[in-house]
Amino acid sequence: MSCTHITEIIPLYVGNDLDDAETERITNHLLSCDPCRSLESQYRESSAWLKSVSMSDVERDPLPALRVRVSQRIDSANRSQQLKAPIRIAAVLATAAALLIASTLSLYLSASTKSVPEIAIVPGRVEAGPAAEPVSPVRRKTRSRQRMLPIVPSPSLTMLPPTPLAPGAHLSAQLAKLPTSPVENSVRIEIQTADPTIRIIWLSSESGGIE
Amino acid sequence: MPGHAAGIMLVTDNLDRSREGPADEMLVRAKAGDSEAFNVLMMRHEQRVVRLAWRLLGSREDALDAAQETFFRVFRHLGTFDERRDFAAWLYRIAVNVCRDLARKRRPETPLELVVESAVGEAQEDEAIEAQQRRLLQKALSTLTAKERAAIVLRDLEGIETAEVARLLNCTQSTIRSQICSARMKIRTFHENYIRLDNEAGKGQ
Repeated sequence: MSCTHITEIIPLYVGNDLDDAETERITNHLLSCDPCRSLESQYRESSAWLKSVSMSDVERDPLPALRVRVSQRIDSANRSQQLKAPIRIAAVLATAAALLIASTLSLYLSASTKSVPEIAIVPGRVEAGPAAEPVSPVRRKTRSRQRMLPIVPSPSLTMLPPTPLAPGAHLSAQLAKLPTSPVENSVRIEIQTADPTIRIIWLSSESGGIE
Repeated sequence: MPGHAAGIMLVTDNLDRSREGPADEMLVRAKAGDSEAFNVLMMRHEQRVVRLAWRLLGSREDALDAAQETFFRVFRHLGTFDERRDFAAWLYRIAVNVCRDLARKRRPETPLELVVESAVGEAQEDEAIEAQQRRLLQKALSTLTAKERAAIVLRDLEGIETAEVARLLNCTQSTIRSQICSARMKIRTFHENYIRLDNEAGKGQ
């Protein structure tokens, strides 16, 4: 073990911070090396000196002023906690009320929008037949809940399957092929609701063709 | 090394004291909100906390601030502390963290002016001698970086084992050994200069 290496780790040796093997090697080296032994002595003296001067900084007297400061700080923290408590309660209540209002509003809006049926215009065959029995409102289950579809005011309705359109055919041409209304100069408008079994037929007595 | 062993035994004795019956009873009552019991706990440990903080920070005013913050944090977290654990060790850990936080906020220390006290060699009252010793200690510690200072204070002056010092300072044992080695080299240099100047002052008189 070289003196250079010893010089670097002697501070740890004097503080008993080396493992047993390295401690033994240094101890053996110091037995035969005066300069390293002198260095070790200096480190022990400075370490002992440091410990001796540190004994004078021991606080011997009680520290009542410190305890007073700590108590005052604890009281101050408790007071600010007590002031914040009503504010926190009010904030929680306001948040709960806002959530309740928002959920009620969303329920109301969703209920009112779903009452309007989807309407699409599709060509179909229509016949004005004998007075049919008035169509009673159809009960239909929608998403696990029943609702009433609106009753369509009409003199008579005949449920007929739609006539499929020829590909690329214009709507007016298709309509022109449909049987005419028994009423002359009448306009017939068919409206297929979202329910495939219900179609709205509007008959008008105004003259003029369908454009 | 008898001196070093005595330092370690002193610390161990302080730590074990918290496990005695009366201290445990105080701890349980303090946890339940008894302010008088918390006051007793403070009285038991305040001197040690202030001494540690003073050694780490170098100023008594900073040390009192650190001690106040330490006991306040103890009060805040006392409800979640398991009374079967070592209260003194827990308090100590908090004090080291508080001092480390405060040391980071402090401005860099001014360079050391090595001045041999004119009172050296004269007859002094005990308090004056102790005051002089405290100044010397602070001057010696001021030659160190904050990390070196923390390592050597905890290892050499508080007598804590290297592994525990590493845990307290949140770094590896090899890092602690390196810092302790560097710190002891600087203390030796300071001591050599102090002895040399003291001898020159003695010759001059």
